[in-house]
Amino acid sequence: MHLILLDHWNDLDSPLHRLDPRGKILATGAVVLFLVLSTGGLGWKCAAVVAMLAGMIVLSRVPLGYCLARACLVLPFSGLAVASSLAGRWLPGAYFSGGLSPEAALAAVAKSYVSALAVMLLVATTRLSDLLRGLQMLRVPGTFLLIVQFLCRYLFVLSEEAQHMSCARRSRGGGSWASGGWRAAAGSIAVLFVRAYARAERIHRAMLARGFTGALPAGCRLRWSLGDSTLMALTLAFLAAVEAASLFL
Amino acid sequence: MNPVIEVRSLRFAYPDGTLALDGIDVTIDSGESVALFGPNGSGKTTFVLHLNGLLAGEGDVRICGEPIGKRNLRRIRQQVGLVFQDADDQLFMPTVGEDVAFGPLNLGATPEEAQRAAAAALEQVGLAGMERRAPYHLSAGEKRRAALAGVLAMAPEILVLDEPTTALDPPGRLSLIGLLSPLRQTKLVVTHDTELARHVCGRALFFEKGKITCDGPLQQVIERMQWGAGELWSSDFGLRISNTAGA
Repeated sequence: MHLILLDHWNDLDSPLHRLDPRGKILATGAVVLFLVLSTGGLGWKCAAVVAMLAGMIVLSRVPLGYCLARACLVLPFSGLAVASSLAGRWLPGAYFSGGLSPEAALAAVAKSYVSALAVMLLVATTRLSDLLRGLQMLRVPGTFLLIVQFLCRYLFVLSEEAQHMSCARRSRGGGSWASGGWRAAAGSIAVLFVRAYARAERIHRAMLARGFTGALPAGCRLRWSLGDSTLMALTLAFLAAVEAASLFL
Repeated sequence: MNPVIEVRSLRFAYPDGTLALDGIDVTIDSGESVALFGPNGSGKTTFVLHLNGLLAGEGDVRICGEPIGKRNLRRIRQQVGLVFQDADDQLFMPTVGEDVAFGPLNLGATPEEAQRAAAAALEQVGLAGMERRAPYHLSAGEKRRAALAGVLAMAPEILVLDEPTTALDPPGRLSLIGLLSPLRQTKLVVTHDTELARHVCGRALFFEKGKITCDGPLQQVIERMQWGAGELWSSDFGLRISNTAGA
């Protein structure tokens, strides 16, 4: 079975990989916030941020093309939101009224892409466990982190189960949509849901059997270093410089 | 001998009314290795889930002389290590090392102590140095070993394994048998694998419809209940099919 592996680049050794996850999370948050709040001169602001992120990606030794391509995954979602908004503008009386101008729509798509690129860099240079620990230390609610952790862990197990069911369906001639294949697919989704539910109960039982009391124990200690402060300072200084430069352009 | 598991008149029915255990009485002494045989749905897994308080039925279950209650649940779960049938259910943390350290951390160990316990347990099961691997990168045999390490890291006195050789290839199965045999803990092994039981256990319990219908030395139970791997026996059809017929 072929699965998309998200942690392929986590084992590289680079200055970015060695940093505390909190510093990387905060720096990524600053970049996203900067993009969200930016208004004028967005084209070159996005270009400047992409250049900064590209430099960091090269520094991290993660293939640049991989990150640029993976960040495109966000485009269908932002594109759909923007398309709905444009429809609201061009079709008076439609459900989505008062939509974006074409320029603002394009800016929204660009912002989403650059934000996704920043997140890709974070995910490619930080192990999931370190990321979750960093978020935990930054006071993100534990229940949310537990859901994220289980989602990442069991995504592979469930997708394998889905692939097995799909194979079984196709091996008995249930692959064609025209011959009622969609009904079989819908049935598979329902079965997958029930299986996921049953698995969740078994996992909870396995957690209780090893002393789980409702909160994940803290497994490793994080250490904030000079490098983390430097990353934060450089990121904030760069964003401030971009904003200041936009006033003169 | 010193009894570590004492079960008296244990009855349990699931919420849908299915009676899973119907008056179980058994005593298991320290250091014993016991195989739990029986058809699917006969109550074996339901029984072992009572041993560390995951299920609570009517009757009396004592671990090392103490009845299971809310007050001592944490200690009971440290004393009774349960390895589940599907290793994927048990390996829920992002990395193998974190998963094995999960139990010790819940028992109050510091991160450093938990990491040491995890490293020792992984070495014991032959997975030394795999702490940073993600569970989905492991083979079925390695997952089973990692799940066992997660329980061994808690230093339990009683080890309960639910169908440990399911889905393992012959080398993986042999390797697991070699791993389980020398473990000094009291062992309960729910299994259909009589070869595994012959290597690991000296005593067997046979479950049928929620009751223990046979209890005694392993070979005696296998012969009396006709539970050998070499033949299938169907009481419903009165058939005996030998797999050596074609030889």
